[in-house]
Amino acid sequence: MRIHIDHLKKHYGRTRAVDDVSFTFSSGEIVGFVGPNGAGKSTTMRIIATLEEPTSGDVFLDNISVVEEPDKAHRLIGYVPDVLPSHRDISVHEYLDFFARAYGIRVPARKKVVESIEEFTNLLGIRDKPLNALSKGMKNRVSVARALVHDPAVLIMDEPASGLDPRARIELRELLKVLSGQGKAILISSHILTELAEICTAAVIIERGKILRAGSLTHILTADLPHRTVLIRTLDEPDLLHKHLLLQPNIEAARRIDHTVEADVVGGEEACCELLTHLVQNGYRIVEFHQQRAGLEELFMNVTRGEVQ
Amino acid sequence: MKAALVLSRLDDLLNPIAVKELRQAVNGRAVVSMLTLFLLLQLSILLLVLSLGERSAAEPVSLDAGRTVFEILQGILLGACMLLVPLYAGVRLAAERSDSNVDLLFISALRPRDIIAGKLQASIVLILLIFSACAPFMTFTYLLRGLDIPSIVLVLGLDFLIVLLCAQGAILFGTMSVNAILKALLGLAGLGLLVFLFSSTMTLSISLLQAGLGSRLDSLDFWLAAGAVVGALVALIGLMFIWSVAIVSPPSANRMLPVRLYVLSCWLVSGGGVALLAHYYRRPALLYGWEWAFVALLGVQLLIAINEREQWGLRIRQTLPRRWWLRGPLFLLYSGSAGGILFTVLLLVLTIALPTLALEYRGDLFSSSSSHYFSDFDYGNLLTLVLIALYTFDYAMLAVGLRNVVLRSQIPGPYTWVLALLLVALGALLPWPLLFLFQNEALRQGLINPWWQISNPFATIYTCVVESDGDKAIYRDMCLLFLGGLGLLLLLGCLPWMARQVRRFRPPEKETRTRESGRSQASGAA
Repeated sequence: MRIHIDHLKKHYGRTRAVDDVSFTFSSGEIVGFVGPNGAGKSTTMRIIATLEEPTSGDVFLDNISVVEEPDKAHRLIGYVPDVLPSHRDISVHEYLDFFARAYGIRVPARKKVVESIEEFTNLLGIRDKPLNALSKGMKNRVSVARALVHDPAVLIMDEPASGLDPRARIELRELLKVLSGQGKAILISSHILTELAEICTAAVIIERGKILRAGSLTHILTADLPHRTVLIRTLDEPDLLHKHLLLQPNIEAARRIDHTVEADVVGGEEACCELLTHLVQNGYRIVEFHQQRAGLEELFMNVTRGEVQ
Repeated sequence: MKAALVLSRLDDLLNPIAVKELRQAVNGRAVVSMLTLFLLLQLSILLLVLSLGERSAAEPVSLDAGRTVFEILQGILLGACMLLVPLYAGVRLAAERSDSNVDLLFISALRPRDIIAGKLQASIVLILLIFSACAPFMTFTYLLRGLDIPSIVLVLGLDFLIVLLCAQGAILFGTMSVNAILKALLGLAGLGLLVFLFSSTMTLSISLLQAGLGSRLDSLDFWLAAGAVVGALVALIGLMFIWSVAIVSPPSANRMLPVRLYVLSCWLVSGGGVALLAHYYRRPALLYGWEWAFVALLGVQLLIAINEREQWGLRIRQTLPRRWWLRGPLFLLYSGSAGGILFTVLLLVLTIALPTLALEYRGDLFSSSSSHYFSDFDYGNLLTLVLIALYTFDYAMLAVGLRNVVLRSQIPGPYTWVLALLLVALGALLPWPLLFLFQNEALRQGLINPWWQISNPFATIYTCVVESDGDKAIYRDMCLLFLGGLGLLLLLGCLPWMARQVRRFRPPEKETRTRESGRSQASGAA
């Protein structure tokens, strides 16, 4: 399935919560949706989940428009909101059974579906516990389980990791990897960028309702940097390599770190390749040549200004 | 095996919300404690009444013992149900709405109609549960003499409908996402209504029990009256159901279309039915009753219409026909403030005009005499209705005008009704301090000029209808002219605002082309 967000706009009076947002992602991808508070992430997600209508633009799930056919879109989307389930006097199993009923899953299949979801999300042990007696992490699992009940092709997760302890976060990360492996397209927003970088295949950075960067993680992390940082280890004397590098015209800076040298290469990946060829041709016995990727956090700080509307 | 299959099929047919609600009711302590307390209370009262009866056993056997006990038990049943079931249903829904859990319901395949229907079904089961807990005690009263089975069944049926009405009212109240102060005020009004409903139902049922219904079952009049009461109650429950569905529907939905269609259907069906009854019984008062009911309902509808949307999203605009003459009637029926106001005003005018014209020109159809004259009573009734309609319209349009011109940023569209009610309150209260300051002597002597009270709808209606003699007749005519003229001016003032809405009410053009390209972009690479 291909999800295409097409020139999406959402205005609340004069405030442009979402301003001409377009991006695309497909099955098996995990897309990190990153932005400061009030950037328009939740509004975009709520529009994709059919909970809000755009001022203009549309979202297509293959051929299905969420504006024109919200009922069809409902069945393809699993939405995990930033609010955890808090119904009183209902057990985990009853709660999931309720959502299975709400999606029209009939009797012989319903029992199996609910049980398999409980098993998949590791809820079997607590299925009879009342929902409001669960911890945040457990409730989060229930929230994910609820979104998976109807086996959606697309998962929209709004801040699912907020307030979770490290163990619950790791469990959620593993769960997302499994879901992505099953071919689900996942759009996830989070403020924990280091964790997002570990699981996402692509990212969209948004601020003041406008997209600042969008694309595969490798692409956006390297595209905008003025230089590449490479880590070089040689069997020769590192001081020699350090001095040699400083004499090269396309090397902006070089630092010696223990037995390795870190160099900032001006230009793209071609420049890195040329540098490696040059060093080998000059007799350096290179045992490690590694391009360091900038972090999502660093990129986020570089491209956003922390402005809200 | 077959039974299991049938049961599983039945299970599939159940409304998920009703299942969830009942599971929560069974798991929770509130319902169980409520039922236990209720049973204990009934048992204690029955024992108390019977033991008190035994003390006066020297007297001849009472033939009313059954009825007396039934009336007490029915009072407890009705009071408890009217208080507890609506409270349970309303509070649950309000809590879920504040937790934004309703959002989650929308993401499922459940429609807003299913959500409200589920809540209502759960309330019905709860009412039946309480009624069935009461059944053994009620049956016992039959053995004590003094009342017949049809009376028991019919009175309990009436009670059931009244409790259901209250439960649906509480669900409607629970769906409203207003601030705490407004909620408290609405809650107080609801409580007052509940007390009024309880006392009038008790009075009616006691008089029915005393008269005995068993002997009237053969009479057509009885069934016509019972049918009219049941019909009115069911229609009212239906109206509140449709209102609740409209409130929980997403803002992008065409929320008011079902409401307008429902009001229009009720207007047509009940109008036709009442006209037939008025003709059959030769009693024009039935027409007046219908007029009053619909003027009140349309007044509320007008207060709702002023809060509605002023522009339409893609989902709605895509359903609009390209031909303007097909779009015209839809403008009146679809969600939208200007269309809603026009629809309500049109229906309001017809509600007052049609019975008046029918009585004026074909009075013989509804009167026992060969020709019906338009009496003082008829005129007073008409005048009151016209004044109520004019005041409602003027205050509603004044609120719209003020909001559009002065208070655009202070009063959001959905709160225009609050502004309208505040204006009514201000209009009713403001003349008093002014009179006190500037017309103190006249106020003491009770000789104030009625024009000082023109902003006060209650005082004006009282002056025009009750004190209709002498120079008050001139005031009455001038008053009608003034209110009508003011309404016209306010309407003219709001015309540009309405015209903008008419212009926006058209199918999308540009977006369709963009949408096609977006769709091909999504599917092309897939």
